[in-house]
Amino acid sequence: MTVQDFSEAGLGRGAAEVPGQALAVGVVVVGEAELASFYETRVEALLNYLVRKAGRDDAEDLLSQVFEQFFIWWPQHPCHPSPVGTLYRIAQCRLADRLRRDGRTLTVEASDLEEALGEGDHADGFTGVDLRVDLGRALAELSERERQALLLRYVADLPVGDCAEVLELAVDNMKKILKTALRTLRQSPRMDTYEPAGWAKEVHR
Amino acid sequence: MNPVEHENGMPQERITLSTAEKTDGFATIMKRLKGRSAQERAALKAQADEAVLGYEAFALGHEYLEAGVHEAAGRWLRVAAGHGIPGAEQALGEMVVRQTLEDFADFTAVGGTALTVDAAAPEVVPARSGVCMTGGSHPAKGDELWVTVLDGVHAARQESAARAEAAQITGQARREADELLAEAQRQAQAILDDARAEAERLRKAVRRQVIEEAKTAARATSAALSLGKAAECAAGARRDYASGAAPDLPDADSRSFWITEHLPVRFSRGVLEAAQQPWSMPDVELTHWLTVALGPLQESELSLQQTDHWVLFAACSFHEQDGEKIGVDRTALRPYVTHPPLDEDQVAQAEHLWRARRAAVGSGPQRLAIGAWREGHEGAAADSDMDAEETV
Repeated sequence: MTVQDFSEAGLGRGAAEVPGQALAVGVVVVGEAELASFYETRVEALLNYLVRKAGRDDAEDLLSQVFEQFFIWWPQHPCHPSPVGTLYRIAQCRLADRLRRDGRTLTVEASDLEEALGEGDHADGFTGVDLRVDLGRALAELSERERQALLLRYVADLPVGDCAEVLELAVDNMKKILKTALRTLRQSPRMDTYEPAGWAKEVHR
Repeated sequence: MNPVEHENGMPQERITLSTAEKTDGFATIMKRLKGRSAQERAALKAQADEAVLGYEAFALGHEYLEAGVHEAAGRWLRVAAGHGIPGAEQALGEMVVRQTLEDFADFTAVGGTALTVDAAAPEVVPARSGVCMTGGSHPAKGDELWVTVLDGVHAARQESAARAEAAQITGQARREADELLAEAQRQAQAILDDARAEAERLRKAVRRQVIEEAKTAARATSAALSLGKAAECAAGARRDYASGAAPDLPDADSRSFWITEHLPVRFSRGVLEAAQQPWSMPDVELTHWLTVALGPLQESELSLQQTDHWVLFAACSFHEQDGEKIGVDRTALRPYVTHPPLDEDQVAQAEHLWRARRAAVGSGPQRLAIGAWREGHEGAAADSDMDAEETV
């Protein structure tokens, strides 16, 4: 397999003329057209995730950084089976760097899961606050890997397959981790008083 | 709501981008990327590779962890943490705690079993070699292991707490540094603004001063020119009339100079007509005072116009205050004086004098009126009419 190295020759030079073509057997080129198509497909979801965790202003800056790094990386690994996974790996690292500067860590938080658990809307505001507090305590019972899995699945809103790619897991293993995490939350003594409609929300998507 | 939404107080709406926005965003990123130098691209590539490899180390660490190979798991998780993978540090901490708890559980299991096991049957002791060596029948060594396990738990907790505290301190220090920087920038901007305002104020003040000096110079030039003609006929030194001392007029040239210097008065036509109406000075009277003030004058020396009579009258009256120091030949005076045109200040001064004289006419000694004129002449009184009336 031949890889076109845009990092030295100038990104997109010549690639735009033969976007995505297999020049010969085993020769795969990721050109500007592929990058543009990928960007248009993924930018919205990634931007929403970054906005949700870092705020609008930081998110746009982060988005630019992430895609720049990804656009350098992908043409050098055109046959990589999961470029989306790599995109989100880069995004996770840059987001963690940004939050670390503010003394925060990148993990799932109770507020992130309210909507996912179908308990986001409450007529009584205190119920929502209680849920958030109890959910936060219940989340502390999870392992960090389970929290990272929930973060990718419910906050980044990635399909299970992409979550598995990010964490370098088999899809079945990923589903198992998610199910375990949700079951732990559901069975937590903190969550006994709630009957969340979204507990069984799809893990299999 | 997530933390960002908490800050805003409103739930975050999902952002949707139009096709044009997406195209623009992509073009912007590509443009920036193509403008990068080779070193910058290498740095970006290194960061991307670091993320990819870090996640692989993270996955390996968890595989080893599930397999119970804690040493390898810890090594890979440390690699992942070194690459900045989110959750790696926490996973490492969890692993240490879990390992410590497992050790503790093993120990309690060993101790409990040992209590029920016959000391003569050591083969039933569980397989953990380190613990078997201690044996449940040796409470001293069991205590040591207990202390070790507790120390491990305590150390793990301390490490975790220290990490959290360090992260908190770092974050707080960073925020304070940002605040200090912002405050310093605000202060610098304020100082800069003040300096600019001060410079502008000084520039305006200097400009006003220059203009004022130019006006003063122009007035001085004008006055010098107005007096130039009269000064041509005067050879003697100037006398300080404003000081109030009686002028010393030894010769005709000096007298002529004195008159032109201190009585350079000519009314404008309108003022002249008004001045002549209320009082008309007899020639005899004028001659008298001129003679008192100036001494005998030759007809050829002075040319006194009727329009200047009252001014000369006032001046001569002033000198009379100090007594008749000069011999007078009343019949010798036939004064006619010519002067250069007056400027505005001189006209105003003459008008002031005229008003004072007018107030004094018919009411007593002219000396009082002259006193009012002196005051007006020195610029002390703003309204000479009032002064004169009070004086009278």
